[in-house]
Amino acid sequence: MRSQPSRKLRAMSPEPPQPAAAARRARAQRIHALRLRVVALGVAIFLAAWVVISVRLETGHDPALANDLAPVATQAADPDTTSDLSDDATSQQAWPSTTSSSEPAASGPATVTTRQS
Amino acid sequence: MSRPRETTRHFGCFGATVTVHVGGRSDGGIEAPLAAMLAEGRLLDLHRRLSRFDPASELSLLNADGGDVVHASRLLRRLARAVVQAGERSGGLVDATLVGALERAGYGASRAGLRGLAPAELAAAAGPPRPARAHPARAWERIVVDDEAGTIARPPGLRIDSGGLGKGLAADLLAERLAGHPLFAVDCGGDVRIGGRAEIARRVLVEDPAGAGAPLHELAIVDGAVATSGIGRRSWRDGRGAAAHHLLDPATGRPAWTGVVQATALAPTALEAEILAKAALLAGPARGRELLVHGGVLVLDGGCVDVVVVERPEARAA
Repeated sequence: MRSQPSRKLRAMSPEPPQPAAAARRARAQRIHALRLRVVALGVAIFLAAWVVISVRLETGHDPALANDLAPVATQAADPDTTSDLSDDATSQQAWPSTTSSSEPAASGPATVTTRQS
Repeated sequence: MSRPRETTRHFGCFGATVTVHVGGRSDGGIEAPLAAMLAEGRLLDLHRRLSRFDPASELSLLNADGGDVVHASRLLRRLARAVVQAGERSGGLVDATLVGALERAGYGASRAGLRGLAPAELAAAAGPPRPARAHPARAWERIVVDDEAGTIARPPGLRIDSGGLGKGLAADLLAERLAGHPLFAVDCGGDVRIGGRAEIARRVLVEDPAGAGAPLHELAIVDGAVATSGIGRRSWRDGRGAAAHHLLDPATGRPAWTGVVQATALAPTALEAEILAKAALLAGPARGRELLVHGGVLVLDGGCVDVVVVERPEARAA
């Protein structure tokens, strides 16, 4: 007859290594390390963007104020344009604001026209 | 120093097209696009406050006030002071207290967007040329501005018209704000103020009164102003079908036919240029020439163009 170890003896013997638990711990460590990397990368990207934007604003290069901002309408800054825009037939309510930017040119600043007011 | 990039904004204001040019960053760090946008807002606000045609404007409230001393904003006090200055400088020819006469002549509502009469119609209606004269009452002399008390005193019922003076004043007020930029020009419907730290000359074309064809003349201004006044743009037919315009002879309260149909004046400020241009037109060809002390251009009713050249460091006729 084969003898069976008692319940008490079996409980007091050292636990054999559990492969599943070790795998869980290793996985948790990998997840933790991965999370740390993601957070560190996010913080680094945020700080880099913040520094770049701050430097641009501090040096007076706010892109929102830049001349390459898309204008409502672009007009060549010349006397003909000025005359056309003063057409009496256009009512004040119908006039939208128009904006244009001109590159520096050797010919001097935009010409203006004086007319009957 | 290279010329900075210039931003231009066009918009409707003062019953005309207003144009603001700003170049470069101000010494306070404001970039041209933002400065031009702020200038537009400021000018629209000035128009709203100084319009004779808006019953809710500050000017209309002043005109409607029955008291002889009225508390008024700094802007309104500056306009009132400009009215007095115009009367003094022109010997009473530029009289901004003729609101009743303007209304009787048919100018009781804004003419923004309306065409004036053709030059031929005006020429046919014009009587014999005669210089305008000051109104004997010289009501503008009784306007007293007290900046300490913040009040304007004037006889009850005396009304003020902002008109061209308002445009010139507005151009000067904007020039004060834009002075820190390398380049700027404020064109309030023909009253132009030019300046900037870069001290670069800007071309100014004087438009033909007919509004078509080549410019009559070309000027170059580094720091100064130019204004043009004429009988064509704000002209109409009154209730009896007679041709009329907005430049009244103060003595008669009727449209003035002086032999000058358009006057352009140079001056250090747009307000002064506006006063001189109107005064030169109302004074007629001979006296008008003398009034253009900084230079200018007169167009006579026969089409003759008289250029008055006076060398000035701030503004010169080319």
